[in-house]
Amino acid sequence: MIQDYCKLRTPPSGHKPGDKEPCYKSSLCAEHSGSCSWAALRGGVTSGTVGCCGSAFIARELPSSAGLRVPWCPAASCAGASSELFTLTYGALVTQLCKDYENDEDVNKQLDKMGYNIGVRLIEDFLARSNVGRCHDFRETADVIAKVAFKMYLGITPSITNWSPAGDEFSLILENNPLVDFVELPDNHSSLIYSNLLCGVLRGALEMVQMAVEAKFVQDTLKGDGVTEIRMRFIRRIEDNLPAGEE
Amino acid sequence: MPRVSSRSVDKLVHLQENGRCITKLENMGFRVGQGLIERFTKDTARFKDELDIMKFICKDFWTTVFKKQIDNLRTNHQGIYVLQDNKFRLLTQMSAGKQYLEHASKYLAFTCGLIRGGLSNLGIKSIVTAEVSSMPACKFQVMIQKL
Repeated sequence: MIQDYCKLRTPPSGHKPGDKEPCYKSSLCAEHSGSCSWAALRGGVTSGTVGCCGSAFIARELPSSAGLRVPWCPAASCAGASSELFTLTYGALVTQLCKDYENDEDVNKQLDKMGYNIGVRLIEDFLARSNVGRCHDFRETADVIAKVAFKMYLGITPSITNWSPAGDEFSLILENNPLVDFVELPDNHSSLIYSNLLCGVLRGALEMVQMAVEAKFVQDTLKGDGVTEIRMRFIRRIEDNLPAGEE
Repeated sequence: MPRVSSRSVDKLVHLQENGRCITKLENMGFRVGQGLIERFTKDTARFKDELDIMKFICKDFWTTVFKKQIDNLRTNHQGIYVLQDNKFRLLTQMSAGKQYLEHASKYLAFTCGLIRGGLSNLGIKSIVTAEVSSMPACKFQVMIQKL
C-alpha cells in the first residue's frame, strides 16, 4: 500500500502547490496505524508531520520535473535506508570491538555493558513515547516488550513463547533481526554473540523499572539456527531505588 | 615537581587516548559511509562533476542520514568545501552554546568518517575535519586530495 502511494507523481486531487495542510488521510495506509499525511511544499526539502509507522515524511523536489512534489515515504525506501545506517553502524562497532579485544568473551561482555548503558536511558524515552502504564505481572511486561518496545525501536514484533511453568521465564522469537542484515560470522568468531547489545538493553531498561532480569541468546540465525531466540528470566523485584548506575 | 610532571603525563596520556578514540570512531564512520553510499546511489544517475557529488552529499545523503539538509555549502572551487549544519542532529541534545564544546569532537568524528567514506566510494579521496564554535551548529571541511 505504502509503496504504491509513493510512486504517485502528482499530488492527490484537491491539493495545490503551496498547501501546507495534509489532505490525504489514512485510507491508503490500511496496514499501518495512525494517519498518513502528505504535505505539498513550495520549494526545497522539508519534513511533513508524523506519517505512518511513526516516522516522518519528507517531500522531495524532483530535479527534472520542477513543480511536482513527490512524497518520499520512509516506509518504502528511507526507513530501509535509515535501518541500513543502523545495521552498518552496529556492524562497524562490533568489528572495532573485535579488533580491540582479543577474545570473543570480552567482546560479548562489552556489548552487554554498552547495551546496559543504553537501556537505562532508553527506558525513559520509551515510557515518554509509548505512554504505557505500569505492568502488573511478568506476562504483561513480556507483551509490552515484544509488541511495543521492539516495534518502536527495531520495527519488528517478536513472538513470545515457551513460558516456564512458574511464569518467570519466556522466550522472544525474532524471525528477522535487523542488526544482522548483511552479516556473516567468520569461523574464528564462533563464540561471539553478535547481537548481545540487545540483551544488555533489555537488562538495563528493566532494571530501571525495578525488575532484575537475565537475558541471553539461546538461538541465533547467524550461527545456523532457524530463528533468533532470546530467553528472558525474571530474577527478582528490585525494592530499593538504585541510582541509575553506569558500569 | 614530581606532582606537576605526573599530572602533565596524565594529561598527555589522556590526550593520546582521546586522539586514538577519535581515529577509531572516524574509521568506523568511514566503513559505514562506504556501505551507505553504495546503497543510496544504486539507482541514481551518474554525477556530472565533483560539485554535483558534494551537492548530493549535502542534500540527499544528509537528508537520509540526518533528516535535514546541509544549510550552507561553500567552496573555493579548488578542492575545499565547507558544509555548514546549523542544527546538527547529534549535537542538539547536548548543548545550545558553548557548554561541553571540548567534547564535541568525539561526537563529530563518526560523521567526518561517514562523509569521507561516502566520497571514497564515489571515487573521491579526501580529508574531512569538523569544527564547532557554538553548538549545535558545526562545519565540516572537506579537502579533496588530488591523486
